[in-house]
Amino acid sequence: MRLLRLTVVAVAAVALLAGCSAGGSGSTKTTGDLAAKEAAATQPLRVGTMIPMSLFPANSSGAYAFEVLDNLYDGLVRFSPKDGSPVMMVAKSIKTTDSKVYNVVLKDDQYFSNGEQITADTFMQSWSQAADTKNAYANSAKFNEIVGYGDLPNMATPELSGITIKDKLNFSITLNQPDSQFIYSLGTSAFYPVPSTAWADVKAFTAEPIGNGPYKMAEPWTGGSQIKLVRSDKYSGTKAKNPGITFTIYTDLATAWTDFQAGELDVAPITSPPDALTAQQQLGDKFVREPVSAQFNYMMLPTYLDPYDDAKVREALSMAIDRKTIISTFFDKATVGLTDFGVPASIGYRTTTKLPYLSYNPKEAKALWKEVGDKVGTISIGVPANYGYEDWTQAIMKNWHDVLGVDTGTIETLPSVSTVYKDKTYPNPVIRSRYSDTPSASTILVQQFTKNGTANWSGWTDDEVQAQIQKALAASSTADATKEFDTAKDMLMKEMPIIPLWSLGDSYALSDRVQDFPTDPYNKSNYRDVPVVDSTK
Amino acid sequence: MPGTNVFNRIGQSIITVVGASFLIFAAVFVLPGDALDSLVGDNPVTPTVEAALRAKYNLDGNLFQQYWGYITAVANGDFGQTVDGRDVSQMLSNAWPITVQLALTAWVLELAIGIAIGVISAMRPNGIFDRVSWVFTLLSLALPTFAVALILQHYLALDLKLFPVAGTLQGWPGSYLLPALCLALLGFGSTARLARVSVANTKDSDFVRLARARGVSRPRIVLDYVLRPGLVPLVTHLGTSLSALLGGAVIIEAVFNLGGVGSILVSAISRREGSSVVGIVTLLVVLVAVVNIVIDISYRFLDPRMRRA
Repeated sequence: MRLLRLTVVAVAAVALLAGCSAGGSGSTKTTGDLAAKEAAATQPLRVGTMIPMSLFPANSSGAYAFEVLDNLYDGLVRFSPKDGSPVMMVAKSIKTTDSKVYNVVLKDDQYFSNGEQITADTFMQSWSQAADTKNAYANSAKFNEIVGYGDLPNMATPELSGITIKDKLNFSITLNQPDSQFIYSLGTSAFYPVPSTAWADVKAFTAEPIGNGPYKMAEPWTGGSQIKLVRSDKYSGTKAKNPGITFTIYTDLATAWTDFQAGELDVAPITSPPDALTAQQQLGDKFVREPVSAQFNYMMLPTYLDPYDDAKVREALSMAIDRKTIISTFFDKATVGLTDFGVPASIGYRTTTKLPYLSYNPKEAKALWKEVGDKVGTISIGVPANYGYEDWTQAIMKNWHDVLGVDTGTIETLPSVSTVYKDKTYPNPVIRSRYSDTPSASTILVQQFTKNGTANWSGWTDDEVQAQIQKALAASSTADATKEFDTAKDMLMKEMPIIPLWSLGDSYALSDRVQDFPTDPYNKSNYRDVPVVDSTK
Repeated sequence: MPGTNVFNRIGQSIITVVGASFLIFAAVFVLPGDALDSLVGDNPVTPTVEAALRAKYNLDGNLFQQYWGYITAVANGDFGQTVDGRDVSQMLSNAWPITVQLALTAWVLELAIGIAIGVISAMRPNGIFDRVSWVFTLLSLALPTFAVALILQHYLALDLKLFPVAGTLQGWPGSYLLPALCLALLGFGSTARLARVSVANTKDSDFVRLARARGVSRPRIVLDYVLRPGLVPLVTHLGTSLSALLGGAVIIEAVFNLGGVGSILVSAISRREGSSVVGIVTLLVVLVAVVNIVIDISYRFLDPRMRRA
C-alpha cells in the first residue's frame, strides 16, 4: 500500500509542478493609447501553420511555404489586396508594348537583410540558377517561357539569354511568345531575388534564407517546431506592423485550435466546421472568415474513356450535384460554390454565368441523362487519402443516385491523385484540390486545360479552347485578356472537362493581442499588416 | 556458450535490421506516386527537370538500384536529403531526442504504475484494491489511445491548465508528462495484469515459503524473494511494450504536436520520402533489437535459477 501511495503522490507532485509552469495567457479589454502599445510591442505574432515545403524560393511549393516566404521576400511585384492587380515592390516600373518583351526598372533602395543591394544582376543570377535544369530545382520550369531557358545546361555559368541587363537597375525580359499575364508570375516565390551568397551553400541558405522582405529569419530552421522571423531593419518598404512572426508547425491544424484556446497562438487557421462554430461563439469579432480564396476543389473526370468523353454526361453529372446543401452540411461558411472555371481570388472571376451547368438543376440533369444515361454503368469516385473528403463525396454520390438514378459504387482512397490518370486506364472520377499561384485567370486555365498543361491530368484537349487561351495570353491589356479568358471559360463551361465544385475560404481565430486583420486573398500572407500589442491588460 | 548465444542474437538482429530496411524501402517504393509529386504539386515540370530531380533525389532507378544507392550512401554516413532540402540526419537528430524522452518517460510511468498495481493486487488477491484495479486495467486495454489523449488534453491541459496543450517548448518533464501518461495507459493494463499473475505465482513458491519459515522479514520477502524472480516474465513483456510505445508515439506525437520521429514518419510517408521513412524505421528496428538483446541478457541477473541453467 505504501508503494502505491508513493507512486500516486510522486505522479501528482510532478504533474502539479509541470502544471505550475504551464501558464496560459489571458486577455482583458485594451486600455490606454493603442497606437503606442502597438509601436511598443516586442512579442511576435504567433501563427499556427503546417510544415512548409522548402524555404528556398527555387524549390518551394505549397501554401505553407509561400506563407513564410511572402514575409521574407518581396518580388518585383506584389498583388493588390483589393483586386489582385500588380503593385510595384522591388520594381519601379515594368512595361511592355507587345506582351513579349518586358522592360524592368528597379528601385535604387532595395537591399537584402545582409546589406547586399538588389540590382539587375541579382535577377539574372537568381533566375538563371533557379532555371538551370542541371541544378534540379522544383521551380525550374516556371522560367521556361523566357528565351534561352533550354540553353542553360550547356553553359559553364548559366545566364538566361532572354534577360538583357541595360544598366545596374535596368533590364529586359524577352519571352518565347507573348504572355500578357507574365507580370503575375513575377510576384510568385519562384521569381523572388536571392542574394549572391545563396548559391555557394544552398543547404545552409535553405535553413536560414536571407530575403529582402519586411522580416528576416531570427534563427535557422532545420525542421523544428517553430520558424521565427523578426522585423528587418534593412527593409525600405512599409515596415511590418508587428515585431516578428513565430510560426508554430502542427501536424494537424485541429491541435493549433486547441493550442490557441490555451493562449499559445495569436492566429489559428480553423479548418473544421465544428471548430469554426465554437470559435465564432467564443470569439465574436475575433473570428474572421475570408470566403474569397485561391483554393479550388474540383472533380477530375477520365475523359479518355467512354462515357466520360461525352460532354453531356459531364454536364448532367455536374448539374445533379447540390453544391449549396453539401456546403452547408459539411463545410464552414467560408466555403463558396464555384460559379466559374477559376478561383474566387482571381481577376475576372464571375459569380454569375449564363450557362446552367454549375448550378443544381435536377430537372435539366434528369432530361440530359435520359439521352446519355444508358451507357453509364456503376460510378465509383476516387479521393485522396487522409484529406477527409469521404463524407461529402458520399453526398455527391447520393445526389447522383437520387437525381439521375445512377448505380453508385464505392469511394476509393487513392495514395496519389496526381498520377492516377497517368496510364489513362483508371475508370473513375477523382476528387482533387489545388491553389492558384497568382490572381490571374491564366494560372488555372493554362495548367488545367491546355495540351501540355501541368495539371491537365486526364489529357483532355480542345483545339478551340487552346486557341482561345493563347489569344488571351497574347492580349495587349489586362481588360482585353480578361475578356478573352471569359470566352475561354464559357467554352469550358459547355465542355465541362472537369466539374468545379467549391472553394474553401479561410477562417481564422484571432487572439486579443491582434488589433487588426486586413483581408488579403491575393497574396500568400497578410501578416506584415497585422498590428499586435504585447498585452491587452 | 552463453557468450555464443549473445553473438547469435546480435547476428540475427543485424540480418533483421537490413531485411527490415529493404522491406520498408520496398513498401514506400510500391506506393503510387513518389516524392516528386509532393515537391512539385501542380507546378509545371518539363521532362528535363523531372529527370534532373529524379537523379538528384535517387528516384531514377528500379527498386534495387534505388535501395543500393540509399544503403551505400548510409554506409558513408549520408542519410540523404528530403525533397524540400533538409538533411535527413539533421531532422532525425532533432526528432529522436523528443521520441526517446517521450517513450522512456512513458515506459517509466507504465512500469511504476503497472508494477505497483500488479504487486499490490497480487498480495491481496480478490480484495477491493484488486477488484478496482481490474476495472482500470480493463479500461486501459479497451480505450483507444488517441481518444484518451484528446480527452486528457482537453481536461488536464486546456481546462485545468496542469500541462501545456501541445509542443515541447517547456522541455522535459513539463511538455512530456501528459503525452507520456497517455502513452503509458496503452500498456499499463497488461503490465499490471502480468505483474499480478507473475507475483501471485511466485509468492506461493517453495523458496518463498521456506524464507517465511526461516523468519525473513516481510518487506525482504516481497522485494528479494517474490518481486525479483517474479519480474522475469515482465521483462520480456517490457521489450514488446517498448515497441508498442514507439508505435503509439506516432499517434501521441500528432495529438500533442511533439515533432518527434512519429510526426516525421507520418509526414515522410505522405510525401513518399523513402529515405526518411527507411532512416526512421530502421533506427526504430535497431532500437527494438538492442532492447531485446539487453532483455535476454538481463534474465540471468534477475533470476538466479537461469544462471545455473
